[in-house]
Amino acid sequence: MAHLIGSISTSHVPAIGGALARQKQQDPYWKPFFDAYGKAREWLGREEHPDVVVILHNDHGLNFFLDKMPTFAVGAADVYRNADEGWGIPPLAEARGCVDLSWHIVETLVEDEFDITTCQEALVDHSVSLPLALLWPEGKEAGEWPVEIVPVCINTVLAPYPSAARCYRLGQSLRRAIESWTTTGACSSSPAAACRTSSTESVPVSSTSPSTCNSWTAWWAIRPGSPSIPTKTWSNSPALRGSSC
Amino acid sequence: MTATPRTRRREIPGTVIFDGDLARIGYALNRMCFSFNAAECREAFLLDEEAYMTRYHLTDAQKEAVRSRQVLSMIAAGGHPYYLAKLAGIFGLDMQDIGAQQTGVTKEAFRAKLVAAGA
Repeated sequence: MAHLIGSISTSHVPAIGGALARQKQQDPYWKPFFDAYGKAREWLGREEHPDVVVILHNDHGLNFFLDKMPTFAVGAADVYRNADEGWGIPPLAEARGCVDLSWHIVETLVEDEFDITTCQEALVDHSVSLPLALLWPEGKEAGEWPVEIVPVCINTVLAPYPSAARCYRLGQSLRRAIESWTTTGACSSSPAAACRTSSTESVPVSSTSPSTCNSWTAWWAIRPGSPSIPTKTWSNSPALRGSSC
Repeated sequence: MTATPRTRRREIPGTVIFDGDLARIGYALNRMCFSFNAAECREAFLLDEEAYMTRYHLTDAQKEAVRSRQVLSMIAAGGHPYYLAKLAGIFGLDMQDIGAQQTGVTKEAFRAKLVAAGA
């Protein structure tokens, strides 16, 4: 059983990507923002070691265009590449997908009557790559993230959007999927990647999806371990240091 | 066929809701902006802006909005901020520039407003 250890939510305004590319972490304007991630990094790096993160996010016209706009789309790819979104910023490292969990989530969501779109190929934009870079800056430097991901994309582009109530129920269903995941180890598409999630207890934490909130990515981090770890949630709201996108 | 005028389904005073009505009106403009994910498309646009807009079948109103460099005009022509951000990037504008245009203040004033709100 997978063990849901907590949730993290963070802004992903694209200006963060520009600041990272220009090494502006110590710039007076940006320093308070980047410094605010210390506690979350410590929690992830010292107290917890998640294997997989389920990332609730929204695409900004990199993977989806208006020709086809799913309300909820679940990634089921081996690998998720980041790419140029039009601003010429160097892409961040690709992320390995946890395909086994992806399909378990797909099965569970459809069982719960969510009519989702599945994506066996998908690019991920700053709404996925920036949270990874903010939480694992060393991974950004190394060009490899220490976790696998399952991206769940929520339409915030084209109204009508899913209601907050619908997103809340999506979150409940995702939790049910994660807690019932009894994989035997086929988590990683990369032979080098250790997948410890296979023989673990499950307990977790809850979080609700950010619903249709733009510029905002929520995560659920998953790892093996004892079921006694309390629920944790963490959030960085730079509210507004970056403007909206 | 053109979009049938009717009462908008969603109203938030001062906010443009991008729904089916705008999606229909703005499709060509947004499709062109979507192409700007590719560096070679951005270069082609810069090389011959008019030809590029014609190639993507922009309406006259959309072409005029792009020429004006005014994001509010582009939104009125059906542009979606996510896609317009890619066009704005070609002109060296970031989202704070767009926010300044939308609120009718200088970028410096807009940025100061953000800092004050986040303090």
